[in-house]
Amino acid sequence: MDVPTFESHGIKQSSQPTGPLVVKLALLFALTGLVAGLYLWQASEIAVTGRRIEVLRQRRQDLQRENAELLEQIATEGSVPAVQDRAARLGFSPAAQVDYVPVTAVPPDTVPALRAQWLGTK
Amino acid sequence: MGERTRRRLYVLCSVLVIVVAILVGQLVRLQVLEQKQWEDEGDLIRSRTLTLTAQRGRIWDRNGDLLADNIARYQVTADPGPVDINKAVDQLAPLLDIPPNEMRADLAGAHQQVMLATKLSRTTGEAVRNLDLWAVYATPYWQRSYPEHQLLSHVLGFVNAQGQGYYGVEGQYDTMLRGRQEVVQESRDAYAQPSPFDPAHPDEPRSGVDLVLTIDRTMQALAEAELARALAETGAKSGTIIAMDPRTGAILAMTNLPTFDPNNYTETPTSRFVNSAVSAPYEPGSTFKVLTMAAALQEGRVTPNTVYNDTAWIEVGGQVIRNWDRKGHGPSTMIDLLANSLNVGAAMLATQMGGQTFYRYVQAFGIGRPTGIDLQGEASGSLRVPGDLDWHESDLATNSFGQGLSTTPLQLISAVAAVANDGVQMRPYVVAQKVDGPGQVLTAKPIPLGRVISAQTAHTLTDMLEQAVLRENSAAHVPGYRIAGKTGTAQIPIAGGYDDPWTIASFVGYGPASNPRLIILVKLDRPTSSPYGGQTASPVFARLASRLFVLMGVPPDEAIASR
Repeated sequence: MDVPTFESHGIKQSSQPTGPLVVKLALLFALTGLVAGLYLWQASEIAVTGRRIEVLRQRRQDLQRENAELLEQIATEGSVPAVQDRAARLGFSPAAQVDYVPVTAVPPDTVPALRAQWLGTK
Repeated sequence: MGERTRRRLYVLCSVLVIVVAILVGQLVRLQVLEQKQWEDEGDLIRSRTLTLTAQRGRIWDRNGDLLADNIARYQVTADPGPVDINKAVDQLAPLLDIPPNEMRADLAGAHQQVMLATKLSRTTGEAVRNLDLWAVYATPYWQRSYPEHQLLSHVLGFVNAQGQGYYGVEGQYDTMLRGRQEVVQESRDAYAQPSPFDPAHPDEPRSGVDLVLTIDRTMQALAEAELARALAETGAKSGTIIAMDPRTGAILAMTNLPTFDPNNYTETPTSRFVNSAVSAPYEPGSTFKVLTMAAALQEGRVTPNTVYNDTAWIEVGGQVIRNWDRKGHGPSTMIDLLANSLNVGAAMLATQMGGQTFYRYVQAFGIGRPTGIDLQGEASGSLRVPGDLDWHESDLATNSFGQGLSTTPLQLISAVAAVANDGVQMRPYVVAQKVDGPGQVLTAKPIPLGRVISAQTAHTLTDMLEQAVLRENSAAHVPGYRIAGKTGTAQIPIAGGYDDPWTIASFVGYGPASNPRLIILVKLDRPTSSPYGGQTASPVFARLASRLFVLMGVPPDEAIASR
């Protein structure tokens, strides 16, 4: 009895073995999976980082607003009417008279420099 | 393959082709033919337009005290379609202090976005935001705030709800202060939060430029207190005080009463917004004699000891000019003229110089044109000169003692400051520095407008004005300091004449005369205690100058002389 062959059915047998083809297909699937996984990981990282940036930006803006409010409170507390009121409550009153005492020991030419030094200005 | 099988395949293929054709047709309709419509509809759902307003530049005084600031406020809006009305009403109504029924009606009856509340505090706004209500938005914005309230209001001006600056520095530097406004599209996710995939919208838009003024807050407060006291004591209806450094033109204090609180500008009559110091011309009266005398001295027509015979009247151009007391003072020196404020003598000086010469000096002193100060709404005043259709020969005489022309208080103090500054007139200014971020500081340099008279003439006139104060105006005397100055008592022009018996009483003076560092103009409108500047404005000058000298660290002339 003749054993049927590929050739007898008109099909030519490949010269390559079937094993490596399976490996290649597996590699292709693995690579595709890797790319897909990387893409998903990247997308999720972008989302997480974007959300974190958004939260930080929100926090920064909140702090800016809070800082502005604190600056306003400081200015109000230090305003002239507020200071006058506190000074009056502490018993201070406007100077009725100011007496200048000439300091003859200091040469007049050095006064501007000394004044600048004391005031910390140029 | 049999015929039957072939037919089945044709039918199947035909069905598939039709299905694919329908799908392709729908794709073409949605993505090509109706693309704009669906894109717009999608944008409406997934994005909204945000207008990011920059924080307005702050305004500081010369010592770093804050004069104008911004505070965060919130407005709360809701989209009536997607909003869960019951939940929103339950949680928002108590927070926003709105009756629940009212809020429910607002939301149920609306088709477009509803404004639920505005001007909310930062804490309330953040509380609303933290509720995370679907289709409810808590949007922050900046509101201008003036922590000193009424202090310096005429110089600062105010900012309206739309962020537009009006009057004063706010109006003059509006473009610079307001910074840039950004309009951005923000993508939202299903929870109405900014989409993390969306490219980040720009950060807060760049803030406006900060301004540092030449004005000292404490000096300003003292000036306002003294002016308020003056109005109470003299019965004047209104008044103005300007304090300036004559060496630079830097304004140290500028105030008018009545005033207003820029935080509540909506509750103020608009007439109060006007900064009379720069925008309200008046007839300066006898203070103008300083300029007439400066011209006569510079032209060499007179010296301090030149004597003339002061008759009770003089006729110029058909108009009779009389002294304020309607008396003749006989032989008088130029110092007598200033000390007694003699109109006849001033008219004689002007007529001797002639119109061309007199008005050349008047114009050189800046009368009739704005000084160029960096405040919104400066007026020019009015000055008729020979050649003008409405100029009359008698104007030469009346102008010599400050009638028939008008100046703003700033123009007058700027002109007299030229005498205090060795004859060089400086342009007045209020903004000392522009700060555009760390390290970006632009400092204003004093600008000389020109030399009007020589230094010698300026010194001579200063001595004359000092003697005039010592002899006839003791109320302006500041113990320990040499003060040069001149009083003014001007009638108030109305249609067809003058508004008798009302006057504008004023005094302009500077010191220490040996090295002037401070010039002050005091103007009181319609005082009732006395019509004269020597009795009403001069004491205000003396009180204020004595306090400002101390504040500025200016030692008395006597202390200097004794060394």
